[in-house]
Amino acid sequence: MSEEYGNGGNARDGAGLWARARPGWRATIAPGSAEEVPTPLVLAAYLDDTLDPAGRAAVEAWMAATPAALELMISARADLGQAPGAAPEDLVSRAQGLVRAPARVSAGFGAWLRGLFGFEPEAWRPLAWAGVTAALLVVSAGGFELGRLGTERLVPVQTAALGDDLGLGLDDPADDLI
Amino acid sequence: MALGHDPAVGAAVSEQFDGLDRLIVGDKAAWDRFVARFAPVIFAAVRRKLVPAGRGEDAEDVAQDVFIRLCARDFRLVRNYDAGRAKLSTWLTVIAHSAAIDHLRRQKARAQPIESVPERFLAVDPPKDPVKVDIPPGLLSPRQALVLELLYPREMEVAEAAQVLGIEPQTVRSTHHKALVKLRAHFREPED
Repeated sequence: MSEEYGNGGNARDGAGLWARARPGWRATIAPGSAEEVPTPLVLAAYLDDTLDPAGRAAVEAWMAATPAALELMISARADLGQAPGAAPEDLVSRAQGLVRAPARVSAGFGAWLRGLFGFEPEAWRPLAWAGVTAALLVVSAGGFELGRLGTERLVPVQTAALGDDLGLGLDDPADDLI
Repeated sequence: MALGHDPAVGAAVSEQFDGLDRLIVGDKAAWDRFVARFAPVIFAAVRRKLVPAGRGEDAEDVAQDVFIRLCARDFRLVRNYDAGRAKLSTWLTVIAHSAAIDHLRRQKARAQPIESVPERFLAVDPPKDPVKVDIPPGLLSPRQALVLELLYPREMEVAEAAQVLGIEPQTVRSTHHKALVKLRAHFREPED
């Protein structure tokens, strides 16, 4: 062990003193204060030297009291400033795939609408549903009327819940983001 | 932990990535750019932790776990990031190292199921009475304790310890000296 500590700091004496004091010192760390786990942002701020003195002292207390914490900070510090190199393409594509693009109205239908009326397809959605509802009511009323007149027994059109079953090419609900 | 930051330095550490506000609302293009930009940082950090432990082949999966954490609960981690307090790459490096350490711990816990261990090795020795050494609170500052921890059990050189703490080597030496003076006085040993 190097004796470069100067000021009479004999390495073996220092090691012995700290070995004796260490368990007692760790016992003085009060729960909920210095040993409270800092957030990644606080730890990053420590590494970037943007914490105020009180903040630095708290992080250093956590590091001194928790071997795993010290290990984390030592290895993170060693990484900073080193060129990362390339990431595997597979990793990049898998990670990018965690967020999916929302489904959109088919280009052909949307483009046709925009060309015809200059409106975005999304603006037509409430009007389209209203139109479908009205059409179904008319068909239903017509069916009942024909039945009433007795010209032909027709089964009334079921006013079932609307959905993509109608195949109008409206927007699907956006996929849930992970 | 509510800790302040030094406003004088905060503004200088922001990095150039202008898509976080769009990313956290699920903008696919912003997310793809973020991944392309920072996957190398995350992968390198994870790999540097796993390879020495013989788990280098797990690096891609652990890096993917980091991205999953970043997406989780509506990008909650990313929403808590503050560009004025730390660089994005530093923050991601901390998260990546934490994930790698967690992975190694889980691997170690799985390495040997207890059922496979012969019973004679599971016997618990009666606990020895620990040697109680009372250290008064505040005898050593956290930095003093940290310096002693780095120099002795970890056997770091002064320059290495200075780098970990982000301070000058001379500060390490003076901190070390003050710490030993206090401990010698406490244990009533003569100074050199």
